[in-house]
Amino acid sequence: MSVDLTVGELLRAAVRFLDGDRSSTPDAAFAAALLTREALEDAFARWSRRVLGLDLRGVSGRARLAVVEAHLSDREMALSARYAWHELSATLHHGPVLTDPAAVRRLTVSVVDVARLLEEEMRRAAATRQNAPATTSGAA
Amino acid sequence: MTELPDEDAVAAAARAAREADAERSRLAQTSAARDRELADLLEAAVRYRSGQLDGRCPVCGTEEVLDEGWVVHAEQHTAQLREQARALEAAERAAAVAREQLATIARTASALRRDADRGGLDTTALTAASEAWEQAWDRSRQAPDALAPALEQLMACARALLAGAAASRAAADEQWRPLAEQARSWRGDAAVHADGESATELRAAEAALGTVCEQLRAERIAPIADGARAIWAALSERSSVAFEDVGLVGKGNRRSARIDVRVDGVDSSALSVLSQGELNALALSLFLPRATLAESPFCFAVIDDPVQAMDPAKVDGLARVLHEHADNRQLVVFTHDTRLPEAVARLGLEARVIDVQRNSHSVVRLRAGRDLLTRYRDDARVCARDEKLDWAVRARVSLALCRSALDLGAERGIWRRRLAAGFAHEAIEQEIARCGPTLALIAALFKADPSEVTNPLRCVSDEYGPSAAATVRRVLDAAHGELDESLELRATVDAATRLAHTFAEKVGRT
Repeated sequence: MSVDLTVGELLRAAVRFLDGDRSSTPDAAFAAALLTREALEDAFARWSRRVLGLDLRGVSGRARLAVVEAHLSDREMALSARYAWHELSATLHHGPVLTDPAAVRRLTVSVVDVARLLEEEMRRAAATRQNAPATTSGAA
Repeated sequence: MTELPDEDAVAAAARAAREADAERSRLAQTSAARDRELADLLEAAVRYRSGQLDGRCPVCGTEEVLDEGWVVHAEQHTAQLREQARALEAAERAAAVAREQLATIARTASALRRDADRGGLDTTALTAASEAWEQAWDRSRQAPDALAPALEQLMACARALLAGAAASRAAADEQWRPLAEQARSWRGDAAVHADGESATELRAAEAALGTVCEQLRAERIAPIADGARAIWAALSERSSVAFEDVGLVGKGNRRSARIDVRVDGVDSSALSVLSQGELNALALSLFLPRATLAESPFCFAVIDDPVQAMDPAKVDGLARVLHEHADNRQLVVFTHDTRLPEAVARLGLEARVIDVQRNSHSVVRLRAGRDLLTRYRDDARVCARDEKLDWAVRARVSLALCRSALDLGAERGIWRRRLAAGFAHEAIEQEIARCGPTLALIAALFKADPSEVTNPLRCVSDEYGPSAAATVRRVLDAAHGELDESLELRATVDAATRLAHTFAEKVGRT
């Protein structure tokens, strides 16, 4: 059976790692960065599925970011998403030795904001879809 | 020359040590040690008794003997025993402090001996006294009485040596004085004969003296220049800049170092042609031989971030140079660049790596540095077994760490294979940067031209078996958020991290 964590659950788990709560993993900040990037990439995939109807499962994080950047109308949000993804990727590339917990915490907060904004866009898109047939029938 | 503590201070420290030892010995003869054990025993018995209602002795089995009266008496007795033991502990502490005071004084004699050796003085007597002191120190637990006399003897020898040195210096001054008087008289003669034949001879003599001074200076700097050339050769692989010479130019307080280089065979000035990385390499080439000269009083050197802006080929050279100089000096190197410990690990050089980890609220923690691949492996295993975390979180984190391990293992394998095949460092680094995701790295691990690999997992399967390929697939699926509850997490983590190490050790034809 498939086990899926929501974006919120991944981010909460990342914060718990940063708070040193419950885990005995030595490189907790690095683990938090891993979870935060996964949360961001999951948020991209979820947004693409709900808003664009594109299934991005099995697609790399970089490609998911490219799709979101290309279609997101809010440029500021697209820039935030791009910045967070690249910073997290750089952190993970350099390994746990250079991971700065304070920087990971800042990035996690930023990803929480991006994920929230993507959720709002998803809700708006769903509402538009629901209203569209009603408007059409009203006009008819 | 080192200054010694005066005789009164030495005598006072020796007296204090004797008195402290005497007090400690006196109390050790009493039953203080036994009192301490008995107090522990009584406290344990009182604790035991508080959980029992029948007052029965657990040792002899007598009924109703451990009553309230016994408790009161035992507590009073315990307090008394503790008081006696406290006196012994205080005496032991005082004796240790007194011993440390003696050792501090003895260290001044050791410093004096080093100075005297360098100055060419006869240190035979002081050396013998030092050895006697060290023997007395080694035996001081068993024979504390011998420590103070040994120190007094040591300091007497040190003072004698110092007095001898002062006398020699005074004698040397006496020898110089007539010469100085003679030279002073020459000044008057020089004024009289300024335009005469003797003045010409004097100017020639002055010029000759200047030449000799230059020669002496060049001789002093020659070993530094030789060392700098050797280090530069190690750090400048594939560089078009050749280090020629270094010398001192100018006079008085306007001296500076002149560094000659040749670029593609043409003479040039170093500062005008070198890149930032090459300038760093040059600075290090000059610094290390100077810092490690035999006459340098420092037994260590601290270097901050020497890797900055160095290209990949230089980092390997740097690791070798540092390792070579660490033979006779302690070298402490700070760096943010993981390429240096990576190079040290790849080249199999002996070094102690310490991670300086900054945690939340700037709490700094030092940890024994672990190889990054081992670190991924250990973290992944710990996380996979951490029952305090939800299974899904454990799986996401530990498998993501496995993916990092597979990437790093593949990168290391690529480095090994390409270096063995004679590829340039820069080319390998660029190739790895181009690779990107895990499967592309695995493809590059198996083929010099990764585009020839249509299915990297097939390569893994052919080389290490189908289960290895399945492990990689499971790790990559998890990275895309596809987790199956039936996944054997621990087994997958173990298999993936083992495979990462196997990738890292991969050598052979590319």
